[in-house]
Amino acid sequence: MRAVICKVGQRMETAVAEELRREALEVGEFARILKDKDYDVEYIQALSDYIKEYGADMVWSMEYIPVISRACLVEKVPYVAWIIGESWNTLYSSTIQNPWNFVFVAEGHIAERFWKKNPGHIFYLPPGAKADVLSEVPGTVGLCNWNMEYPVYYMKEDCSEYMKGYVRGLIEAQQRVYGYHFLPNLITKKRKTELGKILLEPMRGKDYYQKNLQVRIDDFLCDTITRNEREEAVQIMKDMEIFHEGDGLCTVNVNVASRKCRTGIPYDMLRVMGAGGFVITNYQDKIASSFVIGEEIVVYEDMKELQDKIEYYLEHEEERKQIAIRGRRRVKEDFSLQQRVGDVFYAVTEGLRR
Amino acid sequence: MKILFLEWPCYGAENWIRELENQGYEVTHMKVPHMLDEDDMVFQNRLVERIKDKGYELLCTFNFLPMLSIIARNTNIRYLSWVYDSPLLTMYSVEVGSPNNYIFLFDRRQYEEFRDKGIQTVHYLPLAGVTGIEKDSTGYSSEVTFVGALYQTYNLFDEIKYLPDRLKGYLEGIMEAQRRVYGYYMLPELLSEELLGEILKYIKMDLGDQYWASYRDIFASQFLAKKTANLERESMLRYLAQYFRIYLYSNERLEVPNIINCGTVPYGAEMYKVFQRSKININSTLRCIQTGINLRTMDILSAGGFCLTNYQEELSSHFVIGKELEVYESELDLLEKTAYYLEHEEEREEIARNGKKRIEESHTYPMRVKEMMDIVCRGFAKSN
Repeated sequence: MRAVICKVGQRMETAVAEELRREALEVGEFARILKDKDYDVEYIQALSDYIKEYGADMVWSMEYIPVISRACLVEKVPYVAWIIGESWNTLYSSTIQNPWNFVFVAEGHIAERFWKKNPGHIFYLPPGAKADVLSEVPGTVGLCNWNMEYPVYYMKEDCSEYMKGYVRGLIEAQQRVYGYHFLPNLITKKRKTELGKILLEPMRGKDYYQKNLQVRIDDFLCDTITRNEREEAVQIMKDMEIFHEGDGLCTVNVNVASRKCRTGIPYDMLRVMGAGGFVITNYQDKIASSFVIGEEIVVYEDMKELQDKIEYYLEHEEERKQIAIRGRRRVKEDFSLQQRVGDVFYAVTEGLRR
Repeated sequence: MKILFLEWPCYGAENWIRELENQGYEVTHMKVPHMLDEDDMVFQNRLVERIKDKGYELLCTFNFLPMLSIIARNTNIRYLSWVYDSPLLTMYSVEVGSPNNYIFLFDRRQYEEFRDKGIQTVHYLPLAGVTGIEKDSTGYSSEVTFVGALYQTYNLFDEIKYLPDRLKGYLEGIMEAQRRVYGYYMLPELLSEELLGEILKYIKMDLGDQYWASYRDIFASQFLAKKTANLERESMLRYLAQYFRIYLYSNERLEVPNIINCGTVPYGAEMYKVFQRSKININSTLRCIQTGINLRTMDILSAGGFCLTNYQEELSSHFVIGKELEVYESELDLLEKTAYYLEHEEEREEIARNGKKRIEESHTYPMRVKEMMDIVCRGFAKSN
């Protein structure tokens, strides 16, 4: 069997390609620069040609890309899109209904939202990670999260000063509360309508479905909070003068899960844990239910606690290492990439049979 | 020990005095017609003379009055204050730290904050309920009752004449957010230095050098927390009134269909009857009471009323939730539990009985007074 992986800049691509090869597939890599995720006609043509020449039986990408779906529709080959990032905007494309799509979303409530668009072709699937140990850059602290794209929305300049202040108040308040997402309940109908008029989303294709106003507002607020939180966390680490950016594990790896991700496990965090890294993460329900807090992973609930715990675990090496070992074991047991790839094959096979 | 009990208009003085006497202390009860004026030198001088003349060793009041702390220090007697109000501005007085004081706070988080600042004169002590309240045999006259202030007029936020729109929007945003979050008082943290600087251009807040509180604490508690309570209580009552008839006992009114404005009810026997005659009594705690159980909750339970209260962290330390009282964690939760307990009468009445029993077993005036006086007496023994 032959698979093509379309390289779209996601970290998991290489690991998935290796896993597919381990499953005795031949794997080709299509790495053309994508000018437009929705309407890059040259990309569609080039991919179609590649699929034909290579004799591909399926096409994979670690994101849902409408142009890939279009190419797969033309060539009638299954398109496996596994979304592990924090943005699901492209799922609003009308191409989501393509019968050759098999879309796997790492966030449960998002999979539920889109399931009706293409029943039997949209699935919830947590990410998986390899468990190959990587070396550590000693005495450093860094952020797990990578490829952060937000916010895709912005507020129009001419929105009222009151509304700017009000939105900032909501964001600052929600930023301080973990594990309880109260923003959706906070905005009255009147304010929702007002916000809807001033909130713009520039990156939408012409054939996209209308996005529910509540979702738009919620995404905007969550993206803004997440960005603020990550900036604040990075500043804390920089002030400690041991911040490390770039490849390699740090001694302490901080995960700031996106506020939009309430039912999923971040891939970046799993990748680090699978590689033997020690992780401190912001509290999030799904993380708390998937790992033993304090034994496999450490949690913080405000920035002061984050700083205190970074300092503590930098000093307490043995304790830190034991937590990292147990965390890696958990990832191997419950989040194995091999298992996930197997799940994908099963779903695709069943889907094609139907 | 000779005790001078100074009673300004407050709740429960007779219970405390009776218990001091029951425990063998000699108590002189001095009523003052109003909250003491710190500038009233005539009164202060008279009080000093009386203390020296009669040889009092301990001065007691509900809530903390800095002037009395000064008098106690100057006459070398002790001052015991039992705080049941929050926010209480006088707790930010520098006098709080005076070594003659024994100040009892019912909010554990607040107590810890004072202790973290090195103030050793504060102690943690939950409030008390009253026992021996006779059961009213009239039966129920209301389904749902709320007794308390709406803070329509006692919130300083509404008295602010002008704030720029962006600032106003921000403050209203954070108050809306605080309304949704129980068990975490976040208003002070949401006031950055920069924001406070902005606020102070429009609001005059000057307590002088006798108060150590930050502008942040004052603005959060005196302006925002009370306004949040106003928003919360009105919203909650309006929401419930869509489904149930609500009896509101308050010095303020809410002109909404299905809300019966009953005016105020005097504290004491009449108030307890109101609780007994209502199937469900709702309590809503001010947010600046971060973890503690307020007096209203104790009052409802003492009367044998069914108490449905917002969640507070200390409730589970002192009561069994679901068996002795019930809690809500959102307006929807409040609505659902109100509906449930109106339907499930036996269960409701059993919870109310259990709540009263818990007060009688664990939260009485004799227990609290003994605990306070043990601490004071140990202090006396040390200094002797």
